Order: sequence, then structure tokens, then C-alpha cells
Amino acid sequence: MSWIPLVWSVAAGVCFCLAGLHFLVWLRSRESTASLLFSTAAIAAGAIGLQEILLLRAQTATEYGELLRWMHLSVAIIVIASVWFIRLHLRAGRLWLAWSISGLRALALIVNFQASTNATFSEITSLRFVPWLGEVFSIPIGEPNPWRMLIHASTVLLLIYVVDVGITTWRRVDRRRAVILCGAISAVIVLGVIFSQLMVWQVMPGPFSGLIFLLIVLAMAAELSIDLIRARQTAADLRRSEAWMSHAALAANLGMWDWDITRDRISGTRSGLVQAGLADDERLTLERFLESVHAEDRGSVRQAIRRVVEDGEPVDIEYRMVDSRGGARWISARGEADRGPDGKPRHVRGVTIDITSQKRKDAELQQQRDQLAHIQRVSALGQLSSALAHEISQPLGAMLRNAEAGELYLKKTPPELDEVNAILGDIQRDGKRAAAIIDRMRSFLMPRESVLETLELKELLEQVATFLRAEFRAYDTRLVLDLPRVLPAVRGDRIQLQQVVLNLLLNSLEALSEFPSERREVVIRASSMAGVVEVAVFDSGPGFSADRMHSAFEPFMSTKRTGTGIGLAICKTIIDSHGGRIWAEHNPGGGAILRFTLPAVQGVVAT
Amino acid sequence: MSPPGRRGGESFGREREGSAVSADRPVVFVVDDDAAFLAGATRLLRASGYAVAPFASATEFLAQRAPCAAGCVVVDLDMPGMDGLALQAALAGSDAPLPVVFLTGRGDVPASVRAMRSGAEDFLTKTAPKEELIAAIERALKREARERNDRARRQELQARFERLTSREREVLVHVLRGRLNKQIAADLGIDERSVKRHRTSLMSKIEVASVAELARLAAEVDAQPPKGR
Repeated sequence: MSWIPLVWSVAAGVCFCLAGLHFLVWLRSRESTASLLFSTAAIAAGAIGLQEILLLRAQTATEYGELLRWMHLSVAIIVIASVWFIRLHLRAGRLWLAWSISGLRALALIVNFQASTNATFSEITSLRFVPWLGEVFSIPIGEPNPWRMLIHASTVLLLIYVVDVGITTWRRVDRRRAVILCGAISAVIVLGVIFSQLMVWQVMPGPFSGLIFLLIVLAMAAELSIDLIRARQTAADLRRSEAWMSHAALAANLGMWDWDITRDRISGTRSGLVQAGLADDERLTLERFLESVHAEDRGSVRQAIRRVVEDGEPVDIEYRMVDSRGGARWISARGEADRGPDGKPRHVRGVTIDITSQKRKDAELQQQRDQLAHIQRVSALGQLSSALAHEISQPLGAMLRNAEAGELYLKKTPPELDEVNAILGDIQRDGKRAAAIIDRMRSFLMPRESVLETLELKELLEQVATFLRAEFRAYDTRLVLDLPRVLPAVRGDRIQLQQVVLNLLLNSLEALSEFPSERREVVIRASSMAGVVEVAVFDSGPGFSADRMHSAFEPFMSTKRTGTGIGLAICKTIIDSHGGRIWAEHNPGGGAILRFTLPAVQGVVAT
Repeated sequence: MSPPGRRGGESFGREREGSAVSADRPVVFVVDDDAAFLAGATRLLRASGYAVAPFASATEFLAQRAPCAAGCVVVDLDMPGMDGLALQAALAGSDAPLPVVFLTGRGDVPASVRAMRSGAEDFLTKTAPKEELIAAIERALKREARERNDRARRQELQARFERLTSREREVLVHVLRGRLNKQIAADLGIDERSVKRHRTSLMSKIEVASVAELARLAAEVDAQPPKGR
């Protein structure tokens, strides 16, 4: 058996083998275009090997010319594939060079297939048969094709391109790659030139391109294999971090999920699916998931999904899931869209966490706060009872006097009906006035859960001032409201915020009780800036001592004889739960200033 | 049930002006800052036959009232500015103090004690029945009428005593001490006849027939000397 077919066939076999391997890789993961380019290049290299076996044994000039023509195709494929492989794999190289090389090669191919023989020879006149190392080689004799300059030009550009990539990669500290890939290709080009020259000098009977191109394929294969080895390492790392992740998820009661938007399929960790109210054996779609969301929350969940799909906004929602037994669980979900190459979201991935017990605790805490606030309201109202009794006895007394007068007017002959009419009108008005006072007291006395609503703070302050008018009068203290014409609305619980203002005013009122009447004045001021509304209560009482200033809002710190010591503490609890701040200051004019802030509701302006 | 048969029911403004100047007909002055109660109370008292003059504040009342007007004051204890007690104090310092009936919404014990001590006629809650209110007003008016009579009588007696000459006054002092004419003559260094003449003159000026009666009237004048002397 002669050695040429043997060596060349082995080389071609290696190439095909590697090509097949990486084609499979590409089939499995379509994103690895580098693998596809590599297997194309490897197939071309293998083809070159086989073609060369035939070429070296061609018997006629025509046969040789035809074989060489097809070999040009293989070479063009391998060059173009290598250029783009390098660009893709090393993320380097000048685009215009890559295109120029590809263009020149394509042009050379056109010439190749248009010419009577091929791109190398415009005509092959005859073949010489040369014995070399125990084999007989066919060597063509003929006219070189002037268009072969195209091939030379593309080869020069290729060399520049590869050297450029090599330098860039070297500078990126990725030296191994620079050496392997760029070194191999540069070596192949140089070798090719040398072999061609040797052939011209008739030292070698042929360019032995089959072996040369094998070098490129091996270099590329080495590159990809290193990636595969690295992928193994990555996979191990991944397994380890997955293990950590699943422990963390278990410990934190986290569920993980992935919604494939195009296929409408939800997958996830077991706990993630259970939290989502789904069994892990069924085919899960978005609709199936939404079915198990609490009907009241379904709208907001749908909205969040639309936002993530259409606008790519991250998901961050809380909702209730109804499990098979009909119980509701609170879930907090966070996630983000994963975009495809076209920028459209393909997947939404994220985590869920069961926050039911947190919610329950929050609710219990809120309930306790509400109860405490209620107790304090009742106690504050007790303090006001005398003034309130006075206030309510005004309309009641007026009604009684009017009714008695009406009776007398009716007994007259003739009855004075006009007067009676006027009296009835007044009685109605006073009845409403008394009812309003009672309503105000009842709203304060009833135990209730806090209800959030958008409130006009100015109106609220005026209501409290009206409520306390009688009390301030009883203590001969002026209450001055200094409010701007316009104040932004706030979001909160009406009764609790009224309670805060009431406590602050009562606090100031009591602080003033030992002072002469001309000093007894409490001023409420309100202002707003930068999305915050501030209310300040000024008094000219004794003020706080330095250490009391900070502990003023702690419970049971009252310095007053009558105080329960929870009024200001309740204020702090309420303001905190409304996202605001409350603090005490020295009044430069003597006394104290108690201030609190609340976030303003954007876009709504009270007039 | 219904109060003494005086006719009420005149219009608000006319009544107020008319009664404020009328010295013979007693007026109920109602002072309350709560307009609704003021109107209701005014209506009731007017329908009950009183002359009523409503005022929205104590200062307004003090500025506008005729000093000689007869009647009583019904006043709210809790008012901004001058309250009921301050009004009572101001009235007590005047020439013709009027009795005060206090109304309160709060049944405040310390305030009511102070009010009663300083001579409040009555202390009622605003929702007290009409009968109590009217009874309190009646008591106040009666007391005012009595005090007014007393004041008039005292003034008249005062005038009688003022008619005496200085010698007659000297004689009067001795007579009230129960001394005989002879002793008085010796003390004053005049003769007994002159003493007798002065004595007769002063008895007729004071319009009394006996020394006992003279002593009673003298005690009455002494007990509460006229103001401004």
C-alpha cells in the first residue's frame, strides 16, 4: 500500500470526525455558530485531503484541471469559514478585512468556474509524472492564470487579518489563543507559500495542501476543545452553585420559576410550583397559573405580566394564591424578562417567596397598633369630655328652648305659625349640629381598623381645630391656624391622622396651662415642599429639656401630672406607619415645636 | 306654670330698645356667645311674657345697658373673652347691680361654687327644663325688685337724715345713746329748752313719732351707707 492515500485519508478522516462532532454540538445548541463554522471548515479540509489524493494521481491534463477547479472551492470555503470563525470565537479582527478576504475569495471562485480550466492555470498543456519517495506524482505544465493574483491578494489580506487578530488577542492577555489559532493560521499561510515555492523549484511534487489545512482544523479543534473542557469545569461549578442555590431556596422558602413566553410554558423548582399553586406534573400555562391566583389579585398580576412582556419592566408584585383546600397564601414574586437576540422577551424568570406568615404578623401588629391607638383616643376624648359636653349642650339647649317657645306660640290665639316655622327650622339646624358633634365623637370612639384614603390635610387640620375649640376656650388659650391656600393631599387613615394632630394640640395646650393667659397661644402651621407635607405645632410653654427632646416620643415618658404618657408615642407609631417622620424642636421664641411630615400624594392638589 | 300675665311677642329689635330704656318694666338680659342658644332662649322668654334683651358677649352688654334698667341677667358661664363670672364681678361693682342666673354646658363644680359664693341667683345647665329657668328668673327679678325698693327706701331715709342741721345731728347722736334732754344740754353746753326744740325739729324732719322708730331708721341707714359718701 502506498503512503500518500493512507496519510491523506487519515487526515481527511480526522477532519470529518471533528466536523461531525461539532455539527452535533451545533444541532444541540443553535447559538454556537462557531461550531457550525468549524465543522464547515473541517468538512472542506477533509474534502481537500481527498481531492488531493486524486489530484496527485491524475492521469490527464483535463482531469487535473477539473480536480484543481473543485479544490479551489474547498479552499475558499475553509478560508472564509476560518475568517469568520476567528472573528466569532476570538471576538477580534477588522470587519472590513474579513469582508475583503471573503469577497476576494468569492471573486476568485467566480473566475475559477468561468475560466476554461481553473483559477490557477488558464491552460494545462500536459502532465509530468515525477517519482518522489516511492510514489509517482502528477505535475501540471501549462499557462498560469493572471487572475490568480486575486488569490494571492486574499492570502496577503488573510495574513494581515490573522496577525492583527493575534496582536489584539495577545494584548487582551488571552495569549494562548493568540498563539494557537493565529499562530497556526499564519504558519499555514507561510507553509503554503514555502511548499508552493518548493513545488516550483521541483523539490516537492505538490503543495500538500491536505496536510497544511489539517493544521488549521486541528488548531480550531483545539480551541473548541479547550472550550469544551472549560464547559465541563463550568458545569461542575454550576452544579455546585445549583446545590447552594437550592439549599438557600429551601432555607428561605424561595421558589424559582421560568415562563417560556413563546411556548407559554411555566417550569420551576418544586417549591416554586407549589407556591404558584401548581402541581408539577401538569402542563403549566399562564392561564392555568392565573386560575389559582386570588380573584381580587388577578387583575394586578395580569397587569404586571403585561408590563414585563410589553415594556420589559421587572416583575415585583404581591398577590394571594388559592390552594386546593381554598386557603389563601400571600406570595411575593420578583422576576425579569430574558430577551432573545431580537430584543423581545423570550422568558420571564424569577423567584417567589411565601410571605403569608409575614403578612399575618404584619396584620396582627397593625391590629395591636389600631387597638392601642383606639384606647388612646378614648382616653384623650375622656380628657375632652367636659368641653365636649359643653359643646353639645349648646345645640341641645337651643333645641329645648326653641321647642318650649314653639309650644307657647302654638297655644296663643291665634297661634303664631310664622314664628313656629322659624323655630322648627332652627331646631333642625341645631339637631344636625348636635348630630355632627356626636358623629365626630363616635368616629373617635369606635374601635376600627385603619383605612387608607386620599385626604385633604388642610380640611383635616381644620376639623381637628373645630373639635378642640371648646377645650381651648375652656383653658382660655388661643388656637391659631396658619395654613397655606393650597396643600397637597396625603394618603392615610383619617381618624389616626386626626388623632395625631389632636394629641399634639392637647400636648401644647397642657404645656401652657401654668402660663398667664396672654402667653397661652398654640399655632398650627403647614407647608409643603419636594413631595413632603409638613405640619408644625408651636407653643410658648416650658418646652422640652435637652434629654426629653429625644425621648418625647417614647411611651410612658410623660412629665405631666395628668398624662398617660402614650399620646406622643401613639403619634410616632401612626406617623411611622404612614411613612412620615415626627420630631420635637426648641421654639426660638420659647416653648416647643412638634413637627411631623407625610409624603404628599403626587398630582393631587387640594384647593 | 305660666308666668305673671305680661304680654310679650314684640319684634326683636323694638323690644330690646324699648325695654332697655323703660325703667319700670324689668328686662331679662340674655348674654351668650352661641347664637343658636341665644335666639332660642330669647324666643322662649319672650313667648313667656318677658321683655328680653339678647347680647352676644358680656362686653357688648356692659357697653349698651342702661345703668338704671331693672331686671336680671341670664349669662353663659363659658364664653371667649369676658366670661360669666367676670360679667358678674363687673355688675357687682356698679351702682345698680343686677342678679345673675348662670347657664353652663358643663356642670363644672368649682366654677359653680365660685358663682354661688359671689351671689349668683342660680346655676343651671343649658338643658335644664324651662320651669327651672323661669323659676330662677322669677326669683332673680323678685330679689332685684326687693333690692331696688330697699335701695330707694334707703336713699329716701338718707335724704331725710341729710336735711338735719349739724346741731340737730349732735342732738340725734345723744338721743340715740338714750340720754335725757338735761344731760344732752349739759354735754353740749346749751339750755334744755333748745335741746327740746332741736329734738322736735329732727323728729319731724325724719318723720318719726317715737325715739324707738328713730333708732330703727338710724340703724337702717347706718347699716348700708349710701354709695359715694
